[in-house]
Amino acid sequence: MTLATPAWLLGLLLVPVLWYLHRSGPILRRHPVASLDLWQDESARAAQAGERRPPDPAWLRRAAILSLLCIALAEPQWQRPAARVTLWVDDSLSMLTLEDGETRLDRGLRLAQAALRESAVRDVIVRPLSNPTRAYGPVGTTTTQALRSNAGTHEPRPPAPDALARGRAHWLVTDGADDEVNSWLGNANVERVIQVASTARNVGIARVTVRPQPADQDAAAIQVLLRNGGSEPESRIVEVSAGQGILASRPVALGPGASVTLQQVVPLPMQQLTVRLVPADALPQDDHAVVDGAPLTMIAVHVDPSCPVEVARSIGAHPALRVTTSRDAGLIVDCGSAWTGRVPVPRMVLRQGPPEQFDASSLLWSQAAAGAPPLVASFPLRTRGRLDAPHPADAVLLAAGDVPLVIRRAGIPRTVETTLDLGAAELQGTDTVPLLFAFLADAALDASLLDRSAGLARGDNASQVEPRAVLEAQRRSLDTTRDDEAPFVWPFVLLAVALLAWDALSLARRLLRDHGPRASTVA
Amino acid sequence: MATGALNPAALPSHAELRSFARVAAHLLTEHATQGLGPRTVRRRAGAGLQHLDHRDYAPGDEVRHIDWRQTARRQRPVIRQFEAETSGDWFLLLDASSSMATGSARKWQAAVSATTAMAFALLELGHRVAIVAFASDVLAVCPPGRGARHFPQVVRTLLALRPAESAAHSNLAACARRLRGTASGFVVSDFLGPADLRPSLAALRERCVQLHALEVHATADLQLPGPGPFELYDVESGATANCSGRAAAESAARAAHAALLLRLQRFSTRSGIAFTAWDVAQPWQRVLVDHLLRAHAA
Repeated sequence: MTLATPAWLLGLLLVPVLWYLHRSGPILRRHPVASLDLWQDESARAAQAGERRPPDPAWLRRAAILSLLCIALAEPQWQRPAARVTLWVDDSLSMLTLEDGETRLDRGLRLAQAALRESAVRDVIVRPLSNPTRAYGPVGTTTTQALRSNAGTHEPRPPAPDALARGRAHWLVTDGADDEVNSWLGNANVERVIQVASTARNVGIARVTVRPQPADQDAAAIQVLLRNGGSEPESRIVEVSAGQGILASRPVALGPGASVTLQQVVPLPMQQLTVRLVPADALPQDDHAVVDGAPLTMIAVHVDPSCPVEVARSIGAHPALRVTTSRDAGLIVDCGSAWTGRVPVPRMVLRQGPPEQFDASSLLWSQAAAGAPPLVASFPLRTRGRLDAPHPADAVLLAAGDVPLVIRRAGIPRTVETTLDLGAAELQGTDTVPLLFAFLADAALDASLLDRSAGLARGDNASQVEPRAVLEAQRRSLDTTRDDEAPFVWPFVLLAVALLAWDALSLARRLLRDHGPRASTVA
Repeated sequence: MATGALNPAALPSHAELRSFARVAAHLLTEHATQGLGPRTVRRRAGAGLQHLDHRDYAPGDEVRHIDWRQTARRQRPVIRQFEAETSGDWFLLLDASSSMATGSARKWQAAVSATTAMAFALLELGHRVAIVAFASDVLAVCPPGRGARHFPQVVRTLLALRPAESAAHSNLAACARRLRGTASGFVVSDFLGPADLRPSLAALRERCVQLHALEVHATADLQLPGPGPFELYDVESGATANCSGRAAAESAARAAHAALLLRLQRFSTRSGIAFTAWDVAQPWQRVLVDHLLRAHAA
């Protein structure tokens, strides 16, 4: 317990004065007697014995009243034990909006830090809503920098409301621009919300997608999704550039909350594609997007010279593969005599041997072969060689009865082995071999090569900076929302008043006894 | 302290008075024929007087009773004493000091009842009865009178009395000059005063044919109300004293009062005064009859 104005305790020095004023003893009860001579013996005996009259017992009561009032005036403060607080921080992209020279994130953390300091909360854990399992220490430079560096990379993924630790108070720093966070707040046991948002204007790039053109291997189509996340109509110029040159520049006008998709064809290959909005606004992070063009680059395939010619033709027909003779290949097709380097490269092994027929009706695709090509009528009915028995971690992608035909071996890099005879004469000129080869390449590279794209997706609401609502905590706990130094005055005042009433009652009774009406007993 | 004039209902009823008078008549009559008191003769009021003795003149004596011959011979005023042949004069001296009305004033009520009863009984026997109420001085006097017609005046005098709440002390000596001739005295008092009023009693005894003293006290007056401490104050003198221990103080007061009664008893025995201590918790009839019996036996 602490005192707000301890100077009032000096009033306790009046207690000895109070005792001094009562030292002459209590106010005696006056009683008439017929003759004092009859009562003199007792008083004389007390006087002779040197007995000192005790002070009026009422002085204790009055001293207690004085003490209680002094303590009440000193405003005692009850110091509560420090609460444990988990500070949830909305680190979505909108929290990087610049307002008055600082981001919402920085401002929210600063306000939270002040509130925590005001509440004398010492046990603080900071968790970002984008990664609730991640925990930082108390709000400070290190935590702020860590949150700042990761902010905007992921959309908020609030934990389940029931998963919040019950032994801790939960605070939230947000701008209220994310519907998911807002709805989560409605169900979660959050005791304090620090909402920071003053700007309501922003246009941002929500998504950029680049896809190769099937009909033109030297061009790609890009789609840019813009969204006005503010409350005012906005106009921007969208600039698309690759390298030093600007490929396209288009003006765009968007109403509040509106989205628009722009399409543009750009030449390939490209190392990097940049989309930029001019002019920039309060949230510059969503005003430009840089798309890496590496996923669109064709993969070089080293083909074993002993492989059937149909293999090389299939690679040539594949939009994402190209044959190479150099050793910087991204995939090796091994037909028994392929180069085996030390650099780990995914391999596609085509077993060789005498051809054997098998029953096509017994073909069975496994669940792991998600990208299996559709069965065609000219499916090869011959195999060559034998596959080693699959290990438990291997995946049998295709089997004929109990005989595995395609196995994806466990381990990195991938190795896909097959006994299917891709060089069968009956498959010449059909699309069966290219489709099978594309399937085997996807399995070896763990990719969907026929559906390549490069892009960036920030989420549909990433540019939303206008608060959806004014947020309030659903539950307000006295333990954490009131000041740490809770006033503790009224109990003292009430006790003093009770004692005062007692004293007044005693005085009134004494007055009534000494000066009240006397009942005559004389009939 | 509760004081106030009594109302007629507070006095003994007529039947009580007549009952007491019948008993008292026997005791008082026999006593008159055997003792020192005046001889009581019924229905002979106004008959002549017979010379009995001489004594020195005292203030209040009738001048016509001065024996001038003896006065000249002794060189001091001497009066003639006569034997009362018809009836005696009784002076009932009632203490109306403040101490009689302390507490519940039961002492005062009892004293008035006893005085009324004695007056009724004496009037029934044909005596002349006077009432003298005293405190610091004589407060009221009902002059001597005789017969049943005098009783209402006695009652009126008693009912009109009202002891002062304070500062009225007992001065029995003030009554002495009211006694004239040969008379008997009946003092009703609590005898709380200087030297227990014994000097005044002694002086009265000198002037009275016979003297009765009825000490009135109430045990309740020696108890303190509730827990202390108290400031005790004397209603007559105004003096105060502090008292902290209730039980010890009450015990000491009871002992002091017992010592007072003992002193009075011894003094009365030595002085030929019929003395009785009366706790007002006892009925007045019993106390007065006992008192007269003891006086008769003495």
